[in-house]
This record gives sequence, structure tokens and C-alpha cells, in this order.
Amino acid sequence: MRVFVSALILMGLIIGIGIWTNLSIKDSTCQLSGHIDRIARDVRNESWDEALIKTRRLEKVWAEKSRWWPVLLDHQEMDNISFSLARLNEYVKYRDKSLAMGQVSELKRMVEHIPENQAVTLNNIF
Amino acid sequence: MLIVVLRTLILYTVTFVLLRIMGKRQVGQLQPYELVIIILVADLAAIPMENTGIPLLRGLVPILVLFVAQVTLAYISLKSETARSLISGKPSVLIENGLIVESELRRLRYNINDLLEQLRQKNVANIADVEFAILETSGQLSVILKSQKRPVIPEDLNIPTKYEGLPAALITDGHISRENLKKVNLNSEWLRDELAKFGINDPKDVFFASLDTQGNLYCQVKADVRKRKGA
Repeated sequence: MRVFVSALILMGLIIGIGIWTNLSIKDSTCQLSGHIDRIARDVRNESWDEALIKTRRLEKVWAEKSRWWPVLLDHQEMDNISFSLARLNEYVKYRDKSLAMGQVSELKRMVEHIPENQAVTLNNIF
Repeated sequence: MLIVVLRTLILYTVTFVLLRIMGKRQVGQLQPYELVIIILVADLAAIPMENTGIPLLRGLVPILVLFVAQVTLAYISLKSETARSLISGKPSVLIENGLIVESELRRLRYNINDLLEQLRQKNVANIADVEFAILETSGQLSVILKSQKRPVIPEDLNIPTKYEGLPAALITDGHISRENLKKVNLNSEWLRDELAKFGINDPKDVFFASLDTQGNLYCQVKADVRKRKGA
């Protein structure tokens, strides 16, 4: 009985932490998406100095938000976002509009893919 | 490299602890749902152990969930007879009153050679000696011999027997078990006196000593001590 009750508490904890992490990841990716949208707007308007400041700020936000993500998410997925962010930084620095826009789009898709991948949907279950 | 070592140790510890909590059954005695869990846990632990790109939690969480599922199923089958027969199945009678139940063998896809093999493993060479053979839910065959074919027991011959309990291990590899001494209401002084009768002064020289329920002390001295004394 004691083991059974402990097992049920453990299951409750796993489900609770699972829901909390999903909500937390969703919230963090929303914030990151907002930052990426602002960079995209600046790149489109060729406000390069503004875009560079925002890209660097995004790097900081990413480093802060993603500190505990490797505990839950595929490490390769995390690395891909870091590499993409580094490329975007260089494209913005050297003011290459088409490459920067392409990179912004890829980065946004990669960030949005994380909560999609973690969501409890029939597609993900099967 | 070090990460792999640490991950292996963590996964091994968690798997080991959970399997210990799950129970003491041997692989051959596992119920189907328990066997499935053992197979799955082995695989789940191996993947994050070798692939450092996968978060450790991806291996640990499914193992914990399987543990919860196992404990829950075991608890349900403990409480409900219906659930028990659904989860673990029911024992099947393969030989009933000395007759092989062919329909049951067919239903279980169990051929006569399987049955004979299992009977031989139970030291039954002649199927005609069997009154009942029951295939248990764990896959083990229980055999009940005809009353004329089973070994004679003292009760059949009206021979009185004395109580035979478990002998208490008092010394193992030179270490006195104070817990076992206490169980038989004796102490280490008594043990030292008894050992002295065997010509042993130090309990550390004893490899194994036990006391049976008749009060007989069995004692074996360590091989190196024997050699030293012989020399």
C-alpha cells in the first residue's frame, strides 16, 4: 500500500511537472518569437544598427531562457538554434538583407517547433 | 566520456532501485505484465546511456512511469480477483484426473512434447504417473502425482518426527552474526565456549558455523587456518 501510494504521488508529480514545463516552454518561446519578429521588422526596414542590438539582446535572452531546456529537450535541437542565432548575428552585422531574412525565418520556425514538439497532440503521441 | 560514465551510473542506480522495489520474483516466475516491464526498462535505460544527445530525463521518466504502472497493476490484481484473472490470466489444467486435456493444449498452442519436456524437468518420466498437471500463469508447470506414485512420507508410515526448523548461521566468513545469536537466545560468550571445544580460540578462524534446532553446532574452519595448523 505504501509503495502504491508513493507510486501514485510520483505519477502526480511527473504529470504536474510535465504540464508546468510545457506551459513554461510555450511562454518562453512566445517571448523569443516576439524578439525575432522585431528583428525581422528592422531587417526588412534596413535598420541595421537596431537589428544588431536586438539580435544581441536575443542571444542573451536565449542563453537565459534555454539554460534548463537541455534537461528536457533534444540537445541537437538546442544546438541548431544556437548555431542559427550565431549566423543571424553575422548576417545582420554585415548587412546582408536576403540572408538575414532567411535566417530570421529559419530561427523563428525552429523556436516555434519546440512547443509544437512537446504539445500533447494525437500527431505527437502517434 | 565522463558524461557517459555518470549517465550509466545514474541509470543503473535508478533501474536497480526500482526493480528492487518492484519485487523479488525471478525471471521465470514473472507475470506477463512484469516481463514486458523488464524488457522495456532494459531498452529505455540503454538508449540515453549511450546517446548523450538525448536528455537523461527522456530515459528516466518512462522508466518511472513504467514503475508506477507495474505497482498499480500489481496492487489492482492484489485487490480484485477479476482484475487478477484479466491481468495475469488463469492457471490451465493440462492433465486432469490422469487424462490429458487436449482442448486446453490446443487452446494454449502447447504440444505434447512441450508437456513431456516440462514433466521430465519435474523428474516425472512417465505421464501415466500424473494425476494433475497445471500450467501456472507464470508459465511454470505444477505436477501432482497419483497417490500411489508419490514418494512415501513419514506420515504414511506413522513414524513420529521431531521439529526441524531453519539452522541459524552464527558465523559467516569469520563474522559473528549477533542478530542470529539473539534470535536463538544465545550470546557470543556461549559461542566462544563452544568453539573452544572444537579447539578454536578465535571466531575469525571460522569460515562457517551454524546451529540447528536440535542444538548441534556445525563448524568449519577457514582453509588457510587448517593449512597453518596442519603445517
